[in-house]
Amino acid sequence: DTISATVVAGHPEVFRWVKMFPAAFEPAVQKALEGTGHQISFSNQFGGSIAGVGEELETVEDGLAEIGIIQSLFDPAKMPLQNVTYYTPFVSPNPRTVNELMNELVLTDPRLQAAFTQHNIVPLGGPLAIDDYLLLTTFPVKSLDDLKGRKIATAGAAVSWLDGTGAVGVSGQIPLYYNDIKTGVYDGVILFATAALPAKLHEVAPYITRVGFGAQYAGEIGANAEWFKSQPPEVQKALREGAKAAGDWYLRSLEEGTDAALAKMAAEGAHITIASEDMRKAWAKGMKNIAQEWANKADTSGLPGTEILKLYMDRMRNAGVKPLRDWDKE
Amino acid sequence: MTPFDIGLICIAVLVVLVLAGLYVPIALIATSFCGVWAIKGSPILAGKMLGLAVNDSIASYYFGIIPLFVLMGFLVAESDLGQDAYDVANAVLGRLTGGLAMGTVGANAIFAAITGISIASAAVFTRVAVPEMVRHGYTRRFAVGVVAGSSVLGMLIPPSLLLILYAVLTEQSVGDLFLAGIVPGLLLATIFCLLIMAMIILRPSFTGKHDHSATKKETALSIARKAFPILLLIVCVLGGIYGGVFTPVEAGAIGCVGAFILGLAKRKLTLRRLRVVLLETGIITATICFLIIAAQMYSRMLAFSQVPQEFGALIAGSDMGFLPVLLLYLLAVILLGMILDSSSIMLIMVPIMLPILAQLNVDLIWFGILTVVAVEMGLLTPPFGISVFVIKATLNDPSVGLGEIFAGAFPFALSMLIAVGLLIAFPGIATGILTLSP
Amino acid sequence: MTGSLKAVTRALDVVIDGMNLVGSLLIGGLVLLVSTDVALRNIANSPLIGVPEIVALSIVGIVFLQLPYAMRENRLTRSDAIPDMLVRRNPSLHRWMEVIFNLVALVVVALILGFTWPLAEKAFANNLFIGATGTFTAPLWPVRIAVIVSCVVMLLQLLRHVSRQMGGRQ
Ligand code: NA
Ligand code: NA
Repeated sequence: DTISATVVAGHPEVFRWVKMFPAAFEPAVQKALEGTGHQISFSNQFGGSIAGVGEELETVEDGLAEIGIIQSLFDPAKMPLQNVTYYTPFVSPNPRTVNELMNELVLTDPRLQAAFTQHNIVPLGGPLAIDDYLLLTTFPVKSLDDLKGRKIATAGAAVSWLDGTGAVGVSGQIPLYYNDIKTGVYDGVILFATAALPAKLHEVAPYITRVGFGAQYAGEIGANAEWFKSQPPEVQKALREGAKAAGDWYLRSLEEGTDAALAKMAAEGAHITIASEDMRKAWAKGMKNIAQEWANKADTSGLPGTEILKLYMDRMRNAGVKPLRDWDKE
Repeated sequence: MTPFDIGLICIAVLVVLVLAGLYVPIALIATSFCGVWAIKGSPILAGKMLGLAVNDSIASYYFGIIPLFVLMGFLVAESDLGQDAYDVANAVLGRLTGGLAMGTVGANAIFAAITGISIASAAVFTRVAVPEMVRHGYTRRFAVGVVAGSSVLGMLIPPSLLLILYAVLTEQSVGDLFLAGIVPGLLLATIFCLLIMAMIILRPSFTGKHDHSATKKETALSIARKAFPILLLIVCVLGGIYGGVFTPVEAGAIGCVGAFILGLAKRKLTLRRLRVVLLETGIITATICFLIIAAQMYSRMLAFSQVPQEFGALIAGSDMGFLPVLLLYLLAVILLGMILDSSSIMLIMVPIMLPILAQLNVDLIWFGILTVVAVEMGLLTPPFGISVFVIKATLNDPSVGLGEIFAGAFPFALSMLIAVGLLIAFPGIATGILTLSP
Repeated sequence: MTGSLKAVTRALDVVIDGMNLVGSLLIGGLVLLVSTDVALRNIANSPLIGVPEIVALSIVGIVFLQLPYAMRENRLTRSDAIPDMLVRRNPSLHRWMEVIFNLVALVVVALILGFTWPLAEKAFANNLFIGATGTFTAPLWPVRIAVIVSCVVMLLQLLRHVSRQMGGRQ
């Protein structure tokens, strides 16, 4: 029989975490279904055609779409614990390390699964990884002092990374960055390489400093729970295998894309430097402990914030990562 | 019945309901609710989509600027800054055939450098230009047509929210797209001016005749006095944007403050007037945003029905070569423009076309400008033409029907086809500027 | 009309005018908020946080606070060609069409109300917000309540429209 499934993503297909559905997820699911007598007819609804960015969770929850990219980054109120990486900067610049761990935790730890279950969603895997965030500025940055009084735009939780630097954090909109830097509204942005290149931000903010804010976890492929549970076991298995294939494809493509983006920006005249260890340490130490604040906030609303913070940091350290700051031990 | 059939029926039903006189947003919501119900087989699902669309689809920073720019237009009008601007324009251009109407186009081109949305242009110039053009002897139909037509410049000349959306959809640089929009924007303004001149000469019964008795006697001093405040406001806002003091999005608020101060200085604004202005701004914001919510819901229903996708797949799979594919695409965009809002058309059509464009090695910057011009025709075409709706809401004059405004806008929509043709024949109009800049 | 009914419709008008006033003040507030942000950022190097989030939320509030007023003043967008023709040629058919149209609107508004209600409950129960923890957050429930109140008032306003048309008054 043919099962029909609508796949939803708020971003258009040019984004890697959307492209992974037709490029890896769907073919892998079909392949896994071969010989089972089932097949799935996917209807892709991307780029806001049925749901905007950050509306995917509700759309899958309600069953308007069966499968979607659940963007915890854009739903911090519904997926607070999943945002742990954004509150623990300077841990690891490697998206594979961060996301293999986060994916494993989301798929196995009941405390992280609860947010999905509560919203009638089964997390399948295929983490939405974000490559190491960079500092792109109109001026060279040699030390923290260079940032004093400069206006740096970012979005969401990353605004708090500027705490203690003397720079002024301005919340901006990614599509507007180029123009606003060009006219001089901001002196720079904090963003990742694979988004900075297509937006050509290196043309207006050519000084790129690899501060090592870290790679991030931003979401996961999820399926409507009622629908998923009503599927025969072999279909469920195929969907999970599809998500695993999508995750592999995504991470590989992201790693290649990040290297290519940095190389291309450098070739087009960007000055890419790696921040000195002193500067990185000064930056990390100068911030207030945003991780503790975040964990305490989660604790007061009855969520295991402190536990998840400790779990994440412990598991990262166990994996051999050396965080610049042990956010959980202060 | 397949979802595709249901989609087609929903389009037909919408047209009938709107023509019959049902409130446009209600017609859009009702048909999309029934459409999703029929497609998904569940009224609950249809309702959930309705709930999400109503509560989330306009909750964005970009829509937040609508009231700011509308308010700015009202304050400019209330402070008589608009009237002064027209007295000045008339003293300078009045002798030219259609000088005042062309002045409106020119003013819109300048205002387009401030705002990123056409709704703002339409609201501002309805208040500022329509009464003045009528006072000077043009017919109302022609006056609203000029305003509707030139409002499209707002999204072609940078900054432009539509170009930003296209940049996100295609991963092109916003900066390149903005640069590429300048010359086509000026070209379109020129086409509109030629159209105005031709209409006044060939169809004076449609346009009315410039009545010079309404022209006030102006001296050099009185002109300077009237020109100074409005120039001051333009310089402040444009200077602020291009000098990096504030963003184009923030310019709406700064423009409000500027117009407010000038209004106080000219002793035109009273507390009571301010109250009226805020109230009108609120009503227009509410009616227009309600339309946008409803249109987005309708577009989501159409996405479920697969009508646009299958149409796109038909074009994509046709194997016809570049030009026929391009023309079919433009036709689809223009047809969708009759029933959907600009951003919904972009969201649906551009991703369908991207793989084909990559195959054919099409310049995506050029394609973006072409798309924006075609999409913007939809602002002027019935039954769903948001610029026309804004003008209707802003005029608030029961004697001017929607049909009359659509009729006035029609020549301008048609003449946009000339711009489309020129862009296809001479892609350099859009992309030439990129090869010039370092 | 009986005295008590008159009192009810007068009360309805007061509510509609009041919501309109709040919506208008919100627009003024947005102007102040954005320009204060610009001023502080440029003069004092200390921008306000959360402006994009507040703007995004307020727009929904502004729209729904003003909608009942727009409805009462017959300002919702519609094509008037056929109604205008009917009002001259066949007034009774025109009246019946108006009744039907307003009933359709009534159903649509009721649907919006019905399907916003669970969203409001969730916003309340789960303390939903927009923004990012640690920088700026604003609760969602006030906006959801504005939508619900707006729908209730619109329903009453539509009932008034319908009853007037059935009674033959414009
Ligand atoms: Na513009
Ligand atoms: Na249209």
